[in-house]
Amino acid sequence: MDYEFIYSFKKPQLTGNWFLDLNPLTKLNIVIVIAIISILSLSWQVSASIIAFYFLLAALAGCLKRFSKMYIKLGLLIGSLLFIMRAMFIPGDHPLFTFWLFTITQEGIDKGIWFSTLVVSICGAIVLFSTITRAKDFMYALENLGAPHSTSYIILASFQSIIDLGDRAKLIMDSQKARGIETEGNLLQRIKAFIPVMGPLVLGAITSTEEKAIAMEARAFSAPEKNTHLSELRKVPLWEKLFVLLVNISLILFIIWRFI
Amino acid sequence: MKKSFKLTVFLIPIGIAVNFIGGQIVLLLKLPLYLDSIGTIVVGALCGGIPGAVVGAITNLLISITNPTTLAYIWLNILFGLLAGYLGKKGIFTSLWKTIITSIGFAIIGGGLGSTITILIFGGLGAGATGAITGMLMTMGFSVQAGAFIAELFADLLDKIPTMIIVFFILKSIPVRTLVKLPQGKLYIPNNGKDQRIHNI
Amino acid sequence: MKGIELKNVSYQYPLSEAFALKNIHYTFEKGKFYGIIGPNSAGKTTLCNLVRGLIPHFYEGELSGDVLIEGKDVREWDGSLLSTKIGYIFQNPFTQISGVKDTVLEEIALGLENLGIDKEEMIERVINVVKLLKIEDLIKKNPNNLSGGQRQRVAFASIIAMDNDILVIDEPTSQLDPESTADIFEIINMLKSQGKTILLVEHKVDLIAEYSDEVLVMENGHIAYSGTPSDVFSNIELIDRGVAIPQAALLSHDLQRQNKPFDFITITNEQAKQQIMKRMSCVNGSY
Repeated sequence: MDYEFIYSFKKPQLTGNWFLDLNPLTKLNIVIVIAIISILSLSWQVSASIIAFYFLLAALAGCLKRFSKMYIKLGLLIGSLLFIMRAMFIPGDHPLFTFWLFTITQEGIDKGIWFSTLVVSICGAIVLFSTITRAKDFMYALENLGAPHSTSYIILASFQSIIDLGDRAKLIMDSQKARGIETEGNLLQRIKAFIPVMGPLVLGAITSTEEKAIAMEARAFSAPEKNTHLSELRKVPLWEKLFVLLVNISLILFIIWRFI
Repeated sequence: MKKSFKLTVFLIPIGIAVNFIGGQIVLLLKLPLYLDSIGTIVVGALCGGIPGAVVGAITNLLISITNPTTLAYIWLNILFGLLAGYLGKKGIFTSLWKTIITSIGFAIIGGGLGSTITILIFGGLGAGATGAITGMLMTMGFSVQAGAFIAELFADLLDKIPTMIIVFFILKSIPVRTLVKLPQGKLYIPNNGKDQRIHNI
Repeated sequence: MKGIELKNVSYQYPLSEAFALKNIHYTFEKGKFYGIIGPNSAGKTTLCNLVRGLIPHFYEGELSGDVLIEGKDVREWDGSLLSTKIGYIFQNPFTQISGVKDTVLEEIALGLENLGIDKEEMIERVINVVKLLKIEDLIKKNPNNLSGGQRQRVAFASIIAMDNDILVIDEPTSQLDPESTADIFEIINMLKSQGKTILLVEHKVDLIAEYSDEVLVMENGHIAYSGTPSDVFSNIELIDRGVAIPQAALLSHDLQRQNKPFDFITITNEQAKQQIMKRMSCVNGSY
């Protein structure tokens, strides 16, 4: 038997990377502060620097590849859409050039750059947080704050249900195709194909909740005891607390400097 | 009521997954619809407004992991759940035509509040197809508000009518033995179930 | 010692006219192995739900008579406390996996976490149950990717780790292949040897005959026959009423009809084999 694996649960499960091993709430605090700075700065230069900064943080956490893969695609898509919309439609006194119905103005371009960098920087906070934080660690941190363990169940079971239902949907769609139900064809045919896939899927899932409830009840799901955890987070060390304090003080200083 | 609550906890993840999978099947079938709030509305109708709102909120949070701008619209999903809970309690979803009429209510939330959020946060020019329609309407002389409102209300109604039809048939097909264990489930049992036979397991 | 007493118990599911259980009068004693058989919808699962406290704590409906668990009325038990007293394993291996843990080790520990067991003890208990069920090779795997048979073993491990005195097991092998079925019966036999009270619903009567201390035959919501396996299965009425009985008993009854009976009605293959050997040696000896 793999005792090394079993006994690894005796200690908090750390990765050895100081940034990844921060408490999930510390990470949340950091990304929120970054997002607020981006919003309050009202400057595209700040937002753009923050976007670059995320890559640094991701590299620090050793997740640069995973983060970049998701964020670059997303950032380019959302950023360019938001920029083009503003560049095309926002009127102003400094027209640059005109084509067809549209007049591109300096104001449109400026607003476009500012807004797209802002939104992309806020998106980055969310993407970074989800890249460097495991859902179960985050839920565990919330439980420590007093959230009932049913919240953890709901969130974590949602992830698994999405996988399970997705697999079943594929299965049903394949069998529908095999039985000759048109899943391509014209719009009406495709809408009609939705029902025989979704119907059995949803009904099966809803009726299975009864067995699930019984199974979880057998595992003492609603036992009155305060539950313990096999896999624990480490106690937040002093330096991490000071670090959070420092981050939050910098935010306050930034606000004072910016608005007073 | 406590017994019903127990089953609600296990139905919420299912509702969230249904929202997700609905949205994905739509993409697979290349339908010009969203159909991504079926789970929210079904859970709202069966378990009440709060569980419905929870399904909506968590769905939105999970989607925003991969598509963060969605987060701005979390209020829509919460209100869908609350509205479904309220309408469910009133027994509206037991009749097909009443259920279809409620799509207007859901579209007003989705389109009305949705466009308000688009205006407040994205200046009316969101990062989607409706954003482009809004832009076009603006160049045709509509105000930002009117443009966004018309574009999003229209898109939403087109989505909510089929959504509500599907919701109706799902609610109608849930077996009685499951319905009796859900907070608002008994409302969907025909004739209050007096002449219904239930098989034991 | 009395574990669970049922006194004149009847039950109807909500909105149902029919009685799922009718006038059940029976006492399950501690430390014994009870095999429950009977046709589909005879009330076997409903009996499990009752004994497990799911009726009336999870299923509403009309319950009459007294259900005493360790001398206390089931209605007075806290529904959630009963789960710490009585373990429950059922047929579907898929719904019994929680879906919230990403290793089998953590899956098995889930029940212990909910019971508030401290970590040192939790790890000890999990190690013991993993050894007991010989699932060492599964502990690092994701429980959501296992086969049905593997999941069922994990489900057993998860419940056994909670160390309940009473185990209600409802058709644990009906969705499994023969090899996994043999594994599961090995586990059940081991639990029996540990002195657990076991209520097993199972269609495989040969196995019931071999393991049970007492057999209950259910029919239309009531207990039609009960007693030791040899008492119950030697009753020829069972065959006429279409109740499945062990092969050995069937053979025994057939021979009796042909006036060539065994010394007694055999119910296990082992007994039948011995009788046949005995007869063969007689035959050999006479020539």
